[in-house]
Amino acid sequence: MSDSEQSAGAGSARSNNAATEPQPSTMEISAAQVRAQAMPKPQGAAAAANPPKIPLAPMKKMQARFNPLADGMVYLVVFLGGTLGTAMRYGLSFLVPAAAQPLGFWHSFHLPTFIANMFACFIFACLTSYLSQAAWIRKRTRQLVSRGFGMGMCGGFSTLSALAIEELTSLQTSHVLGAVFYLLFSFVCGLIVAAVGAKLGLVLTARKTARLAAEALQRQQAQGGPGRHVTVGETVLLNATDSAVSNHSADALATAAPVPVAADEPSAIAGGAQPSADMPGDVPASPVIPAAATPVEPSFEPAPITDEIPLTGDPTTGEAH
Amino acid sequence: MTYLLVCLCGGLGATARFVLNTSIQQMWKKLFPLSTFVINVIATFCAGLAAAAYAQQVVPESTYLLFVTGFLGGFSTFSTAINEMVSLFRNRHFGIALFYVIATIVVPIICVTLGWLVGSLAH
Repeated sequence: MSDSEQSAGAGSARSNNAATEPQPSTMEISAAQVRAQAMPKPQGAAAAANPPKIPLAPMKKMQARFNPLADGMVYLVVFLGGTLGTAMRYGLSFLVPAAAQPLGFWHSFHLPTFIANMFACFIFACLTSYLSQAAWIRKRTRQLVSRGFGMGMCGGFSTLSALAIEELTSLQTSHVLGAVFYLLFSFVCGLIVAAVGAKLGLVLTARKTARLAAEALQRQQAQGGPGRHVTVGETVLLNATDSAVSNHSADALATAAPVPVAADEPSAIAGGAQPSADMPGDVPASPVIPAAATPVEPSFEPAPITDEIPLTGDPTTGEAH
Repeated sequence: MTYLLVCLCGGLGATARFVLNTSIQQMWKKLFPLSTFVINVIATFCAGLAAAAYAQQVVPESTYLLFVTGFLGGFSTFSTAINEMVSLFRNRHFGIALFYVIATIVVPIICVTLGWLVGSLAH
């Protein structure tokens, strides 16, 4: 089974549809019409330069889906995450000595704050980029995890105020060089670590997405589903039996179409050899059978615009155009 | 016990940051991440104030710990700011990103000094 056969079948099917449907010229849609439908223009008061803003109803302002500030679950999650993050940062300050060295240049380098900030940057970047791509997780779950672990935990784990106070004390004890180094080093390292974390999150999601797609394809093949998996630009044929079925239906369609088949038939026969055997038997009965048996393939023409045509009255003659 | 209280204050700080962040984001529709910047400015100013108060023995150490390590630690955020910078760089808004980086490095130091000065003067 090859691509040429499939395309031949599709071609004959299309020609059949074209025959049963009205003339293409009658359903032509101008580009302006399509644009007007796709991008509706505001009308009335909304078309003004400064359209009036309609405030949300008071009852709706209390609902979480209209107002993120009314979402109690997010408050809880952020509070718990912030508590956890602060516990980690405060605990780290007990485990790690406050200053890297008691004296000199490294005295202004505060290891606990630095470690906490770097870890928080990495986790936050990784989590954010992962959740932004993870379409297989429910949206609400993603939102809560992002708020709880991202905003709450990582935000509570990292701190800028402690950094600022450490800078202040270093500057007051005139460790200017060390203070400036600590500040710049924190920012540069943070940027690098966050970039790496974001990249890692994207790589992880890309891998998982590829695996899920492969699994879905396998499942569909195992079930012997519709057989065709429509991708962006082409029709992919999955297995031999399905293609044979579609081939038969395509041939039935080809026999159904009265006139245009003459052009399409040679290619259909050239593509598939075995269906040509039962072709002569079908031809006499063609006006009756296919109408009942063949499923109507969807037309690829745009649906005609069936809206009422706006009429403009002419006051002088009393006619409407 | 102090440890637990500090952690709870951190949670409170994070919640306060969520409220302020969301409120500012509802009003501010431009690309510059104003909400995080404002939060960090407020947090560092308060930190300077608290450090001054602590240095002059106005408040005991436990209060300082609760407020600075707990509340302000949870309120201010380094990771969000850094990640906003990274995402600005990734989306090729280099001008805004660079401005934000410099502002986030310079302004907190100014704010903490200002807070310290105000706290020292008030005493």
